[in-house]
Amino acid sequence: MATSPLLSVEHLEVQFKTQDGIVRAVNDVTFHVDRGETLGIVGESGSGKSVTAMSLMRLIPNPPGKIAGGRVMFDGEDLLQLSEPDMRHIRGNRIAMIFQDPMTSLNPVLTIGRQITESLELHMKLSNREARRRAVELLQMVGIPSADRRLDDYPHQFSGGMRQRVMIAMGLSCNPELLIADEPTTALDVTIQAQILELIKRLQHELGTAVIIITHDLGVVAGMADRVQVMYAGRIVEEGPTSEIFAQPRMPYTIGLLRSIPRLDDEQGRKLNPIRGLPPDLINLPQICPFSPRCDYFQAGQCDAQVPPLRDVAPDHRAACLFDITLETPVTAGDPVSA
Amino acid sequence: MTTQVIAVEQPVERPVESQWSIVRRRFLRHRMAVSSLILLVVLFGASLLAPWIAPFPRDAIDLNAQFLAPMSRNPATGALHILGTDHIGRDLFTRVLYSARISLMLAVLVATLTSVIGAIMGLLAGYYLGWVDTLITRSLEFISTFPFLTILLILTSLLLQSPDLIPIPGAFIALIQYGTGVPGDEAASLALIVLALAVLSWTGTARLMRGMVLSVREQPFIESARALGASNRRIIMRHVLPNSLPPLIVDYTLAINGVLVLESALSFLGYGVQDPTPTWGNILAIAESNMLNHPWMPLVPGIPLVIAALAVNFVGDGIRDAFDPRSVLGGAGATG
Repeated sequence: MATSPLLSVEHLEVQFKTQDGIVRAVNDVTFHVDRGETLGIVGESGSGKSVTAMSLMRLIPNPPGKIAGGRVMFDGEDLLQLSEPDMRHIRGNRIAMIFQDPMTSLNPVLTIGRQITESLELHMKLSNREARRRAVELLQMVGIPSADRRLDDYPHQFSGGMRQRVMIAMGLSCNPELLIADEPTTALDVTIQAQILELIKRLQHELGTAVIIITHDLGVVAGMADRVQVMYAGRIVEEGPTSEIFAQPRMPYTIGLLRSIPRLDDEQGRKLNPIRGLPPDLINLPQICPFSPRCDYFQAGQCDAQVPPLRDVAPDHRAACLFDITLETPVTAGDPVSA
Repeated sequence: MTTQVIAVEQPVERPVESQWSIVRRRFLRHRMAVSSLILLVVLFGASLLAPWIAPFPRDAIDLNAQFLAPMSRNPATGALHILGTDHIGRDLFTRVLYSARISLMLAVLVATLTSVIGAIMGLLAGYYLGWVDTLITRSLEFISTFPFLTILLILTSLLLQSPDLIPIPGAFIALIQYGTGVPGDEAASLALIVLALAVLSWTGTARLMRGMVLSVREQPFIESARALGASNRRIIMRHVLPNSLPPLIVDYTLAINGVLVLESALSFLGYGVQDPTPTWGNILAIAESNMLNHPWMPLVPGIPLVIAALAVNFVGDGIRDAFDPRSVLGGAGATG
């Protein structure tokens, strides 16, 4: 195993200029992905998880978006410093991306075959016949029957699950070292969702691809990821091995997320247990703990005095909370918890 | 898992149909559009054969046979003038036949130029946005604030008086000469009119295209193409353009129609295609000055002009319906 991680993101800052002011979508985000591992990024809408992923590929629309600072080291190179043609050579070739909505992520006027061979033509300089043979291989690999014939079909002739399989085939066509899956199953129903996740997992093992899976679905992460990081208001608020995060969450936000999952063995008629309040406005972010207005363990004078840094709470497990809070900590606002 | 998938997702046997073949099939079911298209082809085809089937040479002047009514015979030679003659005794059937090719060709050329210029401008503006968009949008706004007809009249009269003002590529003149079948010197002045019309009328197409591109460029498949490493040029040519094409095609047929009528109006005012090159428009212009004494005269070029304009319109209608998945054609039922 190489000592340096495949991807390491350092102090990433992404901002969007809007009429109301500058939206700080990603703030000081630092993380890494090792070769072959699966990293889950969890968070609610607007927490910056998709923007983080898009900035790795330098796909943030500019204007209004801007990567305001930080480094994205991929295999020893800072992607943010690359020229556009060099970056194009990375996209689809060494880092690939699967998008959320397979219904609209395929061009409706081109056959599936032409879309799959697109990146083969772009990056591998294959001849038409070779590209076609490879496309058939890829479709078989993602489990599409009569692949050879279906290459000449158009996207509207495929179901949602089949289209997501095609998207995965497109993403993996050049054997990328890193696959970013941005909510790959959100638009699919539950059974298809399981099949697609199973497929990604299988292919990852076969090809040794590192995967970043972005989702708001904790169930997806639990089944897929080796490590999880939780994002809130553009910051990473907790990160650690998947089992740790689920068994021993140390950040009140993560605890809230886990408590809000309905359980099959709950008594009938029990209400859902949501986190109260709303995520903060990313335009006027005060220098306080971003979760403090919604936190059950809020301590006046401490939580609203600084942005809590990520600190080690267990081996390989870090949380951005000033206090040692666990699932067992009683929810009694005002009761001081020792730091 | 794989076996399950095969069982569930086995595709139903059906012919593979591209969007274009669906459109073609739906168009062919539109009766008015198809008959209009056939009519236009026949009209143009007959005009192509004019040198062989026309009863007289195109510009043969016969001062013994001025203002002959339709179906009358030449007093000197006894030859039949099916649609009569004009003020200098030229056979109108011959001239109307020749002018079908010229008028339709001019309309197609201007519409093509307009659509190409407009589409390129619209694509650039809508895709790149920023200063490119500002530049193109402002300049097309500037052009559309011109009083169109006045500028056109000034431009054409200027160009017709001093043809060397703008150097026109020989290939373009040759194209017009080949397309319309007129002699070289006439082709040069036709080229001027084609250019003048095209330069002033691309703005509508550009706007249409820009709007289309603005919506297409936000589609997820554009982003996914970019994530595959496609360059801007590739994205424009392969993803944006094909998806913005349907309204452009409809706009194109309507532009043909517009030019057909505009050229007549221009000729009618005396600034269009110059005599002796015949077009429906300038035959109409001559007829107009003699209309009170010879009321049949405007009808001779007028009727084919109206029929052709209507036919082009119907074809455009047919294409639009063929592209619109919601339209139901003549109760033919659901379509693919």
